Amino acid sequence: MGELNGVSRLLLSILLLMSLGVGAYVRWRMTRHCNRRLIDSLRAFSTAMELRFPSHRGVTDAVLDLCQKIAVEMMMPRKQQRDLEMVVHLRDIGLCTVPYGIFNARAEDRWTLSERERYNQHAEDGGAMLEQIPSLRRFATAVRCHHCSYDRLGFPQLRDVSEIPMVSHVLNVVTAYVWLEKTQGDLLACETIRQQRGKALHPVVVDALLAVLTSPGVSQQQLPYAPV
Amino acid sequence: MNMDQGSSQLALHTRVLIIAAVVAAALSTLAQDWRFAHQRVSLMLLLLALIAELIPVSLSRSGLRVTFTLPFLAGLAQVNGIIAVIIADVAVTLVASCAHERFSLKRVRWSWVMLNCAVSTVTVAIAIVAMRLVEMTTTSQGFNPAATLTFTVVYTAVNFLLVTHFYCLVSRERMSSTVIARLKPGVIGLALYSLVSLCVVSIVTNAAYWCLPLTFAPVLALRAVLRVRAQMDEQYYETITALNAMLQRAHPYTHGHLERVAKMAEQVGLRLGLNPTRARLVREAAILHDIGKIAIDEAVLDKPARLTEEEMEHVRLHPEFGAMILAKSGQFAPIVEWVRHHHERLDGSGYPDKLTDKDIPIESKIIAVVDAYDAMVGGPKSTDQRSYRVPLEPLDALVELERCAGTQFDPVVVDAFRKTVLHSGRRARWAS
Repeated sequence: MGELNGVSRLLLSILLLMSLGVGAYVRWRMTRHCNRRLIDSLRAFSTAMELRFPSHRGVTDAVLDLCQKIAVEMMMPRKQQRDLEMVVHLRDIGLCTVPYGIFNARAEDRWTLSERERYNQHAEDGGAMLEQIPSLRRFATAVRCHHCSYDRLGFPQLRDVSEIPMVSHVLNVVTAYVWLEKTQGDLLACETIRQQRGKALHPVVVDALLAVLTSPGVSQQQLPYAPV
Repeated sequence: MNMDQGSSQLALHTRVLIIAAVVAAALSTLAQDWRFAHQRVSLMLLLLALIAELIPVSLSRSGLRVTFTLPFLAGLAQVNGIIAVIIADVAVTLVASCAHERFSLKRVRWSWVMLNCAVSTVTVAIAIVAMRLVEMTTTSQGFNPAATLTFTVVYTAVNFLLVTHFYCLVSRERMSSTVIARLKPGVIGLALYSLVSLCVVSIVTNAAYWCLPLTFAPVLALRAVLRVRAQMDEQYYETITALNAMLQRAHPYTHGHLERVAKMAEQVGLRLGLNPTRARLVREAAILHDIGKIAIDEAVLDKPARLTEEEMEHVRLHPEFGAMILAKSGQFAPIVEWVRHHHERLDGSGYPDKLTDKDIPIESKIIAVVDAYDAMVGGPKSTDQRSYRVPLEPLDALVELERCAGTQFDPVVVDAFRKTVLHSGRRARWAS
């Protein structure tokens, strides 16, 4: 068994140090950069849907902001927080299959039954689209379930509430709140959310949302989406 | 070059390479360099090479896999004869292929395995010959950095050229543009490989085989970097695919149109002298140039009758919408303006910004010409036809483009496009 000479030791030391440096760079910097780039690119999807349906404009930013706060409140792991952020941007990708006229011609309360069914299909369509894309496949279930309610009366119908990812529950609660606040104001929205706690809406998420909304640091002006 | 011609060329080149490999192996046998010295060191190197071969990084878009066996082959070449190194490289390739077949979901194509073995044989033979020539011209005994670097550089260069050649045969890309596009990352990788090879060979000359596993650390680090880079590239292209899919769900007629426009736009860009990287960006911009139509009423887009002024104004929003969608993502920054201006005209009567000749990016001009041509000609399927227009014959469409050159389209771009179409031999029908 031989011994290393000076040159070998020097080369080996340099390489091992470089490896440590590169490994740390990949682990902390590159991976984070990769995730940020992905999130960044996913904004294009939410923007596209907001342009297609102007009634949705500004909703993504409002939903995103609240989701991030709720994720912190619920002490979600970092990876789950990141996934939640990505699903916010992808949640309505299936709306591209909903005819332009349905949303833009008249208000939601004037939709026919078939139009309502067409709209309800968008979650399933969104999930199916994401299944085709390897790097986004892991979000397909969350997108498919983002309108699933805690009492399984939402869409699409699932056999078991445990099939619904927590990310989808968060989206369901936040989206409901944002739309209610837009149409009815924040007080009625909060009251409706409280009433649906444990029924249509996941109780833990509702508690987190109410905690976020009532925390001293959050005021009406700080919410990115101002009610019409 | 159609599919049949491509396949027959690939088969021919593969046969030539296999013959070359057999000849190289035979000549190596004649050299009677059967050394297999320092068994422990050699076996350790063989094991490390095998492990490196078993953990490749897939560049899945291109179908290529990058492995990290080179430093260990350099070590083997230092202490063993040419035959031993050839056998080692081929054996590692075969064993790794069998392992992939067994453990992965994808079936291995043995024709490609044979091709890889042939590439390995030829590459190792040429690299070792070059290394021996350098050894003969230098007087150093034992660790010879010049010889090691020669082996590393020659191996990398020959392997790179052979793999790129076959990749271009399969993908029908130009060899020159592919080589240029891959040269920079190739040179950086080579520099790092050279350092690792030098370290491995210096350890081998000291027969300190117990240190060899430590040299796997930089290999793993390199692999990690490449994996993340490959992942980022993959995500970028999958985002483009997903955006495209979204548009096609809303407007099904766009599918064939976007693919055709993208392919042709890249070729026109290359003909106009754009570098391969920029031409590739033009292709991506062409795939996404109509993404703004996702925000346009499909009933208006598909209306067979003439559009009202209000409807035209609505449709004219799509380049702006496209730019707004892409501007949200930093990685699309280079192509945002090209997408925004793809309906501008040289005479300033275009939209959305009424730019004139000098202000319109050349890339937008390329997309404008190709887009207009495809809108006039359509595709081979009935679903590729526009609802509001009877398709023109390709030559008539070219005449129309030339009629509008100078006012709507850039004459230089029109000329380049005409040459590209005629060169590709697609006179009879615009086909994908």
